[in-house]
Amino acid sequence: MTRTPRLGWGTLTAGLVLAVAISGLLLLGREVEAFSLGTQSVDARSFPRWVLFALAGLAALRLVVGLSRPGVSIGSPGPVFRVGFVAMSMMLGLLAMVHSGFLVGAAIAGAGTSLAFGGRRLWINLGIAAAVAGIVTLCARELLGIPLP
Amino acid sequence: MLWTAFQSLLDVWVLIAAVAGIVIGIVIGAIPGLGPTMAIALLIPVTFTMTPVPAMILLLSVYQGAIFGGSISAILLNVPGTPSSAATALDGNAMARKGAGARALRIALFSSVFGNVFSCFVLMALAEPLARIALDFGPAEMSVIMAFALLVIVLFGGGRRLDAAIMALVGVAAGIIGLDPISGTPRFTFGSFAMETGFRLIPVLVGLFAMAEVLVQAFDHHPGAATAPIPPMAPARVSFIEMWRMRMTLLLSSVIGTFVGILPGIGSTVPAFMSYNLARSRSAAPESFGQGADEGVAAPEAANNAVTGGALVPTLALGIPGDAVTAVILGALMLQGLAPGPFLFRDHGVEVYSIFEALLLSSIPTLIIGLAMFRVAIHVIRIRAGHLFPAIAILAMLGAYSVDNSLFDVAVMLGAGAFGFLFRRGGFPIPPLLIGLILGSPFEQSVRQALLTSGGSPAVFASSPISIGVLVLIGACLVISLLMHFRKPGPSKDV
Repeated sequence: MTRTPRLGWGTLTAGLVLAVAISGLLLLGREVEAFSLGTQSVDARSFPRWVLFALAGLAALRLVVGLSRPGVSIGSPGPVFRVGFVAMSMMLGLLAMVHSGFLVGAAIAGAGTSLAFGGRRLWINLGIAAAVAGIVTLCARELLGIPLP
Repeated sequence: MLWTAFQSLLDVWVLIAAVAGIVIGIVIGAIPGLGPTMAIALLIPVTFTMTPVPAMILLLSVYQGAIFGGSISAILLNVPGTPSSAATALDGNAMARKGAGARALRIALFSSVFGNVFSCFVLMALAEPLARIALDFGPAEMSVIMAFALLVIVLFGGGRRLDAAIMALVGVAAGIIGLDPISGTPRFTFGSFAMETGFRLIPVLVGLFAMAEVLVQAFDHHPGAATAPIPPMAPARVSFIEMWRMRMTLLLSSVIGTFVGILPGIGSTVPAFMSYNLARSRSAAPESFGQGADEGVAAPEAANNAVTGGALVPTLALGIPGDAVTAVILGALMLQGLAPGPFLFRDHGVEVYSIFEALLLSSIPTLIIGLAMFRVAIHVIRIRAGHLFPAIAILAMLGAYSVDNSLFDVAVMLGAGAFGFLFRRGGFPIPPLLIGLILGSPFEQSVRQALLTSGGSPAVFASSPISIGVLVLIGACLVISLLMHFRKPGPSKDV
């Protein structure tokens, strides 16, 4: 784990939170309809406004603090690629669930995750992922009565 | 009430739920990286078809088993399954390296059970009276109590206070999405009907604890890395007399665990280390700590098991979760129609006392199964990441979907997992987010109701003795936190 005084996971996350908070403040008027209910002091926008202002302020402070002291660097691209691969396979699995059902989606998500973790026995890992998807689907449908897609 | 509750436990499904929960908990807890929070979150779908008492007993037994399971990897591999097991690893692993791993595990098991039993009695004594008092609380009182809970987790939850404050606000902000609690108008739903219900607690929990763990493990995975060898274990016995000699350590550690557990958000790591340090300072041979002292294992184990009984006090009486595990349990209670809060004991007293009694009685199967299983559980530690994490990913998808049979919840779970990964890599603590998410909407509702009834005057928050008392506590916490901050040496000061 490399220590670096510049951009790292902490500052990246703080920046993301700051961006979300500012977007929330900008969209507040459009996305929240407000009725005063007899008082002008508090409406449906008031609480979100306080929270988002506080969040933006603290995230900005965290960003400044993060840029001025050593943090955990993002590191080599290999691990980031592995995480991205797992995230992509999970999203593909979700899309497959919409079109082809839970079993196919879960098998895709499981196989993708299995590939990301690698190992020497690739086909065994993929087989286990597919078997787990099948067992989970069967148990959820037959034992738990969950109406899976 | 107590007898009626006991009678409801005389059901074979209750026994099956308790035994199954303990076995599953020990197995999952023994795997490094998988804690009780994830185990409970993933098992929630199993409870959908169960009645409330066996369902909650299953989840609480999983918790008990997972805490003991966590100490197996901490003691034998020096890899704490949960942060709170780190204190156990200090002496437990030293004992294991000397061939006394079996003895360390037995001490951990007996101490865990002691801590659990002690905190159960405190829970039974305190929760209902607190709930009865809370029946008289109005929106202003609830607002200041929830503000106090959020403040405590930010100030004393460990780590940087700035990061904890950001996370608590992220949780509160996530709770804003959905219908406005007063006027019922949609907020930040972007025209989506599915978003009008907001983010459901269980998919977010599963994302933060299960999916994020899969991503973190994928990031940290080293395919060719050698695994640490398990030290050989000589057969060992721990007699009642040996445990009796540690009675004061067990009692003080359980008191620390229970009462720190009542404070929201501090979790079990702080009391585990507090108890360890207290045991060392009281010991006649403090130099033996770190070298394999029996009390070095007993103290943290008793404390971290006592936390949940304490944390269940505000969870059940006020609907304010004490830590991440009780937040998940709160979600499971709500799914079973047992909404935690002041009305829980009035409306579902028999069910709640059944759960308390089962938690107490499950110490017996925990002892039996724990002693029988720790040699089996050692083999579970060796499970390959390539087999384990795909299964967790699939179970996470099922868990999120099954809450409302909605693929939108699966998408929420994946989003929570991605954010959970980023937060964990960035060093941001997750429990404040969780408690912010749970308290956000009721906090807003209470604040706005109080302001509406007072015509917008903030003086309403200091208009009753309870509110003033809690405001004084808030002030005291801020002063203590400032004093702690300025007494720390310069370079390591947290913001």
